[in-house]
Formats: sequence, C-alpha cells, structure tokens
Amino acid sequence: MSKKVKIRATLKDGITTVKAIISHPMETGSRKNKETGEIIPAHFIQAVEVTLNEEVVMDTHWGTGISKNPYLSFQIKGGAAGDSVVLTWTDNLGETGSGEAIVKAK
Amino acid sequence: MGALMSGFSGNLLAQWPAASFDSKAFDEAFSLVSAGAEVKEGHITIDAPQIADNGASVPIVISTDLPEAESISIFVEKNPRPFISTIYLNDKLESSVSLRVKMRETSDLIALVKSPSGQFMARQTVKVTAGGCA
Repeated sequence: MSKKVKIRATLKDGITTVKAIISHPMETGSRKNKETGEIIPAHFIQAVEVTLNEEVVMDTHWGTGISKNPYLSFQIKGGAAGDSVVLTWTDNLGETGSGEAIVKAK
Repeated sequence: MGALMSGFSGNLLAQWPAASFDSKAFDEAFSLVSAGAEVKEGHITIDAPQIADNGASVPIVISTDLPEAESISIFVEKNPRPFISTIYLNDKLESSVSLRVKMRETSDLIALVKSPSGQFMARQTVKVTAGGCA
C-alpha cells in the first residue's frame, strides 16, 4: 500500500500555509468485508507531528473519525523561502510515514 | 507549553487519549476531553458545509480568536465514536486548522478550545445526505 505524504508549504504576507494529504485507509475497525463478512481491522493514524527546520510547530491526535486519505492544513507564523517543513505520522499498527516540503514564496 | 514536544514517537503517541477516543457517547467524550471543567460559548468559528453530500469526507475549518489558545478539539455528536481529534497549538501557529471528518448521519459538529482564559465551545449542524462509515 502506498504510504505517501503530499505536502506543500507556501509563504505569503509573512505566513506559511501548509497543506498535506496523507495516503492512508483510516479503517475504523467496524467495517465489514462485503464478500467474506469479516470485520476489517482498525487501521488509523493516531499522531501527526509537523516541524519547521526541525523544530516542532504542531502536534495532533487523531481517532477513527478522520477521513480516509487525511487532509490537514494550517498556518505557521513566519517562515522563509527554503525552510524545511516535515510532517511525520504514526498509526495504531506502529507504521509511520513522512513527507517534506520546502517553503516557497508566493 | 506542555503540548510542545521534541521527540515524536515517544511523548505524542504515549499521550494518545484512548479513553476519550474510544468513548461511544458524546457527553462522556466531551466531559473527558474538557476534564469536566466549565465550558463557555463563543470565540470559535466553525466553517463547515450546511449540507454534506458525502459523509465520508466533510471538510471543516475551525478557527479561534482566543489569545494563546492551547488546543482545538473536534467532535461529531452522533458518530459511533464522537471524539475526532485534538490539535495542539502554540505561539508559532495561526489559530486555525482544516481537516476532513467522517459523519455517519446528520449531526452537530462541536469544537472545544482550551486557553488561559478558559474553555470555549461552538457547534454547527451539518446535514448529511449520504453517510460515511464512521
């Protein structure tokens, strides 16, 4: 399964806007496989952390109510073209993934 | 600020609030997240569709004008597990976050913000025409 993080960081008027989409099934653990009738095990992201130049700027906890292939957007005060924004996630099965964006001025 | 952590898979995962996320009743989940303390109305803007065609992915934006807001928590009252997420804020962030959430049926969406001047909440009803598997 693809575990990509698509992430973009754009600087405008002194604010860096981060937009990210994570490829992840976000299974609740209550859905059934329509053919076998078996319950599809829970598989969802629990924690996401975002750093700007290796300094943490945002943490979030997620449950199963976040949509499949999660979307996340927020704004960082400041930032500069060329800065590194890294998003890292961990799910309930211990899998992790990350993606990096270099801040671009608009 | 307590929510600002340096090591990832250590603290942040260890602090995942399992009881709140596992709770199947909104009142209980809300009480757990707000620690049973007083919650006032106001200072929060919820930008969500009034009608959602696809409950599997409802786009929402939660903002607050509270200075030094510490966290934003999101609930969907009628979901099987109503507590959706907490976003931990700090002075490097604008106090606004966009996410997409699952909604099984028409329900209120509730946001709770913690700040030094207290806890605040807001709610908005979202009519769901095709429910998502929440």
